[in-house]
Amino acid sequence: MGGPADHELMARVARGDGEAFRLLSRRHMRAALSLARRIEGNDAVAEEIVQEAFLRVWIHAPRWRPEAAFRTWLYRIIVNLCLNERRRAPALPLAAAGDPADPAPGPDAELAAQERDRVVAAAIDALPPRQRAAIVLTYHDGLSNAEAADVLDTSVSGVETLLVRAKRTLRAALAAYG
Amino acid sequence: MDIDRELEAALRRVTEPTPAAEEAAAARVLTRLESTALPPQKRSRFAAWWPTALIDMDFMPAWPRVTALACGTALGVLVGLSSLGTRIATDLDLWHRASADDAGASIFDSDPVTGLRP
Repeated sequence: MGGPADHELMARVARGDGEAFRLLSRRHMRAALSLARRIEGNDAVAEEIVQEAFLRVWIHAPRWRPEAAFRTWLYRIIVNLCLNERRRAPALPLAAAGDPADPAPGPDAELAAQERDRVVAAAIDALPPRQRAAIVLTYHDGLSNAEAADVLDTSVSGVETLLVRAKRTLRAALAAYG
Repeated sequence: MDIDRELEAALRRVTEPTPAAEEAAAARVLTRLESTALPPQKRSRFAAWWPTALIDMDFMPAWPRVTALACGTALGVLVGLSSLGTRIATDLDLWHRASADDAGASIFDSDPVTGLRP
């Protein structure tokens, strides 16, 4: 990552520097969208959420303190917006967010893996919103439990509980599929 | 065990990024974001200014240390108010009440011949 660090850009954004805001949004846009699409499951809604999240970053920048990483703060805004949206409207299946790549060796194995992925995607879609967010933050964004806890505004053990419950549900779905 | 491995593999595949789609979506959102005027920022003048000023001047206190100092101070005051030190001193026989004899002994030496104090 070249150029000024996030906290330096945020200090400029806090002073109303639009160019710094553009740099910051370009830097984090893809990851932000990717996260929103995985949690929300609907591309159009995810795009609106991310746009709204960046506008909130701009509006509340003067109140930002460099005590946590900017990415954590941004992810927290996005996750909260996604959870609010999901409370209002049911989500589309996770599969709608994009076709997952599958490096299976043969056509039969590939088909079986695709079917398993479909089952898992549907099961993730049916998870309660916070469990789904914990799964996406951990597996999609590769966040540690501590980072995910910061984003979800809970403790590390809280994240672990969410993951354990989510995996229990997913395991049951996969076992039922056979 | 197998199902755990399968689940881990499926989770990684299902949550894998899809760069092409995300690139296009990112471009759309950036275009929308950059083509609209940014709203006014929320700032209260003093509350927004002073922490930033402290950070700029490297004067921002390290809050955990300030908390530790405050706790230490509060503990000291409580110990003082509870007379714990006095009680410990009495128990260990470290506590002597001042008296006229003490004053004489500390100011005047006894006469080496008679043993009397002046």
